[in-house]
Amino acid sequence: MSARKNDRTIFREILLPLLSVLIFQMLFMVSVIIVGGVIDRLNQNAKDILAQQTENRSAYLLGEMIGNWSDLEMLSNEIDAKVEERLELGKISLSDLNENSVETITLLKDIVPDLINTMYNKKISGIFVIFNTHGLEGDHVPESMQGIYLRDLDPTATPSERNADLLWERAPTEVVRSGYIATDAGWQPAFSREDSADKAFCYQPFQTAYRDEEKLKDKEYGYWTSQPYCLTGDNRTAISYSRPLILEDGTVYGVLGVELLTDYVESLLPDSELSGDRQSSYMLAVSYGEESLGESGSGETISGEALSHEDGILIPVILSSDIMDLTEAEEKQFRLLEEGKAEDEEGEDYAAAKRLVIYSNHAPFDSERWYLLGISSRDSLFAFSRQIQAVLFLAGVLTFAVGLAGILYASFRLSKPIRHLSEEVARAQRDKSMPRLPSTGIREIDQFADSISRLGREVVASSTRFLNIMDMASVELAGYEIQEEDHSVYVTENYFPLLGVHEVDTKSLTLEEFRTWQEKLQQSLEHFDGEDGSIVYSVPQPDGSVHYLRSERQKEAGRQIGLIEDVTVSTLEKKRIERERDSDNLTKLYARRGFKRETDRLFMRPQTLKCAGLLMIDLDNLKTTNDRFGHNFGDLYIQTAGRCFVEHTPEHTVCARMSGDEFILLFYGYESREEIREKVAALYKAVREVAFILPNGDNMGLSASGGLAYYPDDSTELPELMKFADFAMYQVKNSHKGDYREFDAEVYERHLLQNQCKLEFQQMLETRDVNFFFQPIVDGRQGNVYAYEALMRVNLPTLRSPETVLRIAKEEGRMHDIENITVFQATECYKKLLEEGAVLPEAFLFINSIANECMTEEEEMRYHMLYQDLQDRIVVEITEAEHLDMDMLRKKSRVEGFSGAFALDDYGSGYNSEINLLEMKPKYVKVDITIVRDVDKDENKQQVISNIVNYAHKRDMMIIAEGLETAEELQKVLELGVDLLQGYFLARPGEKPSAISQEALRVIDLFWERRKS
Amino acid sequence: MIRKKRAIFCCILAMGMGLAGCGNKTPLDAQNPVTIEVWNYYNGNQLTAFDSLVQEFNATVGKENGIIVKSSSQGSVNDLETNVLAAIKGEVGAAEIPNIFMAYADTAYTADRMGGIVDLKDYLSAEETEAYIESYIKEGDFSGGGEIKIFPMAKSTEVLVLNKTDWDVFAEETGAAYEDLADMEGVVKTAQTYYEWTDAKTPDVPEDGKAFFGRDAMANYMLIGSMQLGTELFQVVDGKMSLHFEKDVIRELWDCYYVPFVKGYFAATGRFRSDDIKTGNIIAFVGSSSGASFFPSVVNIDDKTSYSIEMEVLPCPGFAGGEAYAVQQGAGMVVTKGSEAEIYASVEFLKWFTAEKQNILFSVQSGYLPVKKSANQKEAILESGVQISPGMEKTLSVAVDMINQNQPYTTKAFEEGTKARNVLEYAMSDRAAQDREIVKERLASGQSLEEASAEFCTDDYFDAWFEETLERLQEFENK
Repeated sequence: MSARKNDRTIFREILLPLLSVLIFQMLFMVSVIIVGGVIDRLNQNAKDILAQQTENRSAYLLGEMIGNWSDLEMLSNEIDAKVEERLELGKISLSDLNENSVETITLLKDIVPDLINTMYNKKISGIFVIFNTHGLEGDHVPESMQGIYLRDLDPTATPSERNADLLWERAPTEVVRSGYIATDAGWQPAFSREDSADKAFCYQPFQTAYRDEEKLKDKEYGYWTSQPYCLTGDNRTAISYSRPLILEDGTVYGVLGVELLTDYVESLLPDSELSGDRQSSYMLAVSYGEESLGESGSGETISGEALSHEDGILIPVILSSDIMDLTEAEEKQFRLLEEGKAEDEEGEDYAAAKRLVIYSNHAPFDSERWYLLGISSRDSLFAFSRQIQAVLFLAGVLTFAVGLAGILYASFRLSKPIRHLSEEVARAQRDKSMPRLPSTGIREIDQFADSISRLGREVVASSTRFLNIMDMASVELAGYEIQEEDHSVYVTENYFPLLGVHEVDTKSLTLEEFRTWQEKLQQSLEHFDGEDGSIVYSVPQPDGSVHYLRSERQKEAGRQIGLIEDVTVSTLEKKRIERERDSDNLTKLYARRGFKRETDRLFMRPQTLKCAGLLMIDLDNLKTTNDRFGHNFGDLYIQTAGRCFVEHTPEHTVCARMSGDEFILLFYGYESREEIREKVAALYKAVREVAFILPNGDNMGLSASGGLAYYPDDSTELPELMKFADFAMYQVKNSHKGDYREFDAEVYERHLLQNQCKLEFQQMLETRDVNFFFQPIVDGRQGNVYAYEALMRVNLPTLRSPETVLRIAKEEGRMHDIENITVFQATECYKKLLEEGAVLPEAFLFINSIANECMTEEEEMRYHMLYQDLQDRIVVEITEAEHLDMDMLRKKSRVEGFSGAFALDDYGSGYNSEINLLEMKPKYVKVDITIVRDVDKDENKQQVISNIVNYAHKRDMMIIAEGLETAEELQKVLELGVDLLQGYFLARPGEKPSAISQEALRVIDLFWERRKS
Repeated sequence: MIRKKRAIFCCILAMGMGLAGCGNKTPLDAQNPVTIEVWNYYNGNQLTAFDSLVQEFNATVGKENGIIVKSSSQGSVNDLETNVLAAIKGEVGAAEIPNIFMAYADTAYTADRMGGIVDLKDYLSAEETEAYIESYIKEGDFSGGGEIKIFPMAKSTEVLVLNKTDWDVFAEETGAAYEDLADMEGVVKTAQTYYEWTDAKTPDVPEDGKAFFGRDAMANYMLIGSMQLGTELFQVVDGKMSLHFEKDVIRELWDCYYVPFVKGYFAATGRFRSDDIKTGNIIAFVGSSSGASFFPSVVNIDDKTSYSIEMEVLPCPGFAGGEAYAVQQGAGMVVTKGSEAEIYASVEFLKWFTAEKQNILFSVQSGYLPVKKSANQKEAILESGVQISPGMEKTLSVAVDMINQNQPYTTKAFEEGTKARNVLEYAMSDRAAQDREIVKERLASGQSLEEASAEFCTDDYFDAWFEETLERLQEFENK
């Protein structure tokens, strides 16, 4: 993992940080745009512009509608005046106005110039006047009405000469004939009912005024048609403003109005000012408020249908562009949102709305609220911000792309020279040549590369030097290096030739091949371990000699270095020295060291050894020979023996002279001991036949004592075999020299045990490591402890019993030491127990003493000094041994401070006969355990005890029965009159004396109670 | 190294530019359309027909190529001319110069003199030019050097239109026949018969005969009549007019219009003679074939009396023994100078408009004649599959034959040609109308027609008028 982490390319190292900076920048940019609300502001801006344009346009339109088009005051007054005048003069009657009368025609002809003037002045597309005095509801609605409807298709153009650009839409025939005004295709001489009474421009103002009783001023009834209409026979749609003609007396006699072709109105609403892409439109629309229902009080008005529309919905009147037609606009259901804003139902289009206040507050039609809407599809309206978004997006993508490309390029460019360097180095490594590092143009890298190549050159130079030195060196050196990582091996050219292989091409050698070769050589070449962990190969040379090559390997992280060195000279020298050291100069046999080396090798290979015999030989009489005939002869003697051994032993024998007169021979490779016995017998036969002529002329035979031990029967270990063979040889030497004997394990064991005991005995004396146990001696009458006997305890592995100790002491003549140890140690131990309170202070201490030993004066003094206060209670117990030396006893009794009380031990066992009793006159007599044992069953023993008791009591002696083990025995000795009792039944001996057993006490108590009773 | 960087930078820049603009064959961009303003003088059905074709263009070819055509009617030919010239001159209150305006040769000529007109020769291949009727193309060749300053769009000629319903009654009773209407002399004679026949209908009322005939475009009458009688009234060479106001020729024209007019055989009351037919004033008139859509189907004597009528169309009467000339009229389209895109778009529109299908459709709806040779054939029109009204079929049949069987004639443009033309338009007709009022007064006062009109039917009266008119016309000579 970490290896992979570290294995990053420089390209990536440069790329990643730069890339993350770029990404951060992009994110920052995006967030700035989003947080900054740029897009929202742009959208709002677009809305504002739309609203502003709409407001400007509505101001203009309102100005035209109110200030110009609907300002018919003058014309109306003019017509009123003309009619009033004619009525006054009687030239015309009100009813004439309803007919195609000459008067009406004259009147119409009379007002035509006024109409034309007004039309030109106001730049309107049409003007009309309709005469009628009947109400427009009920049965009296006239079929036709007289009047004039003039139209100018180019209202903005300057008036034509002869009014050539005007058309009659409606005018009586006579009027048509009278002038230079052409009839339009749909011309009719009068207004039919459907063009007057049924049309809002006539009906609304006329009927409203007609119906009103309290007449308002005629202009208050002014009405803007909110639905475009077509005259019959015509296909142009128009809207109009019309007002009733009212006489001073309130008679409503007609309608006067101006017409605006929708095309013309459209031309006054240049929607291109809303947006450049022609996806916008002005819409003149009307909203029918609820109050119109209440105020007009009539649901039957022409706009009755429209009134059913929901409040707030804008009914389109005129659309300035053809992005949609009126029907579509109506279906879209534009609705006012808040002040100045409207939207269609689907939300596709947005509109800025501006109300056109064209009716005064209390005018009959003020419920029809007119609006000018600047409509733009949201797509179009927000096109700019979308474009900005698109551009920003594109810019972002481009920036990112360019940034990315730049980063890639920079990373590539920066990493290229380094990669190039690395490739060059890799190539050089492949070709095993010195890399020529190209210049990167980057100073630091070039310096680095220069340093590297300089370093490389230096390394090459120094290694070349080293190789030269190697070449020049007197010993040949070769080596190899294995790179584990890239499985490569470098081998010096002389490596294989040195090892005697000439067919290997070191240049093209692969690691596998190299290893195979190594293994092959390892198997085929003889080799042995060098002193320092190296391996020395012996390489046979064509001339028959052998070269020795020391091979050494060293392993360190990832590589292995091997070196071989020609060590023929030193190896040969060493071998020579070894040989000299390992052999004996005199006999040319192996010396001790050589023998060891040879046998060691053999003992590592039991299959070669099979059954073997080790014969240890010691030349007899060498010392005497030397003494008698001089060392030269002695040497000759040895040489002869050596030669004899070599000559008369079979092939598989290792002969060595261990030292002086000691030889050792190892017979090996046999199937059984018998074969070896034969060989050894043969050898001895030869040895006995050897004869010397002594300088004095006498004949002398070769005499050698030998010990033979077998492998593997006796032992598998050489040192042990040697010990056994030696043991057997010494047995011979100690008995009958000049012969040989096979090793006997039993004899050896015995010998060994004895030796061991002696050894331990010596050790015991040295360390005085002797312990004493104490066993109570019980008063036969009182049942209390009368005395304690100190009993020796030896704690050594082999030497355990005091008897053995005494025996060895006797053999070794160390009885005195035993006496000394016993007296001092027993007292010392007892003193300690006394101090601890583990023994009774009034009790006596019985110490066993050797009858024939006594303390020196110095010891007596020391004893007295140490144990003065104990001395008067110490009883010296004389162990019966041989015969008692009375002088010694006297000496003992004279010891300073001693009470002089003796105890005679083991009475009746042998040595201590009655004579001892007589001579010694002891105070205590201990009846031997053999007499006490089963005394209750044997009357003879009872008799013996009875006798001694009898004898002792008469002479103030006390009798001790020791070794009491049963209640019956106790019972019996008590019966026999024994004074003191000792034995396991009463108390066992211990480091601290144990208490008297209750059972024993009961026996004693019972006895005395019975005696009393 | 720096150069390399610069190259990369340039590449990126070029890529960016490549995104913004694409290779453009035409100067047009569908995303960013060019708006073409077209001024015409159409009214009524013609306007409707024109506008509907414009809409079709905008919805199809225009949308594809990025052309939006806006048409606006300027009312009458004269209004249009006035407005155009005002615009070109940049007069106060004038509109902006339209990209295309409809104009007669004179107006076009004037505008061209002001330097605002595009020679369309460069925008039309020889093949394309070849497809149009030669005389139509030549109308715009002011210099005679093959230039095309007027794009032919729709032409008309004059036909005789008859209220067949009333005629049939008259013909039955008097034995009048269509052959009588073949020349002006016959028309005058028939008109007299009709006057007398109607006068006789009310024996108790003297001199209440009704007029039979009227005519629009008096200038045409004068110019074509003159040609038919052997003289080209305005001879134009290199834009200069030399007047050939021949007295005997004019006298013939006078006798065939002024005299029957003052006598009440002819009449002109409304703006156009079609108005006179509508109001029952006359039953026959010579008018432009393009007026066919205005030909009434109803006569309204007054708001109480009206009846349906059937129309008949006859070839325009010439003068007996005269040469076969037919008037070639109808304005062409003039393209004004503007941006290359605007001119290109304008020509695209005009080519489209005069393509056979559109041109025939427009003809059938407006009464104008197609301008391409292939389209200006009865068969072509009938077989085009376009719905055609019987009246229009009659008109077009006659008119196409008129153009094909006669030598189409139109005056060449010259300085103030329109004004000169106006003199011809009104000089005779105004005098006739004015004198007729006197005759009517005299008749009302009880004079006989003979008495009442005697004053006006003298050589002297003609001479005086002739001299007066000659003088007025001479003003325009060699200007």
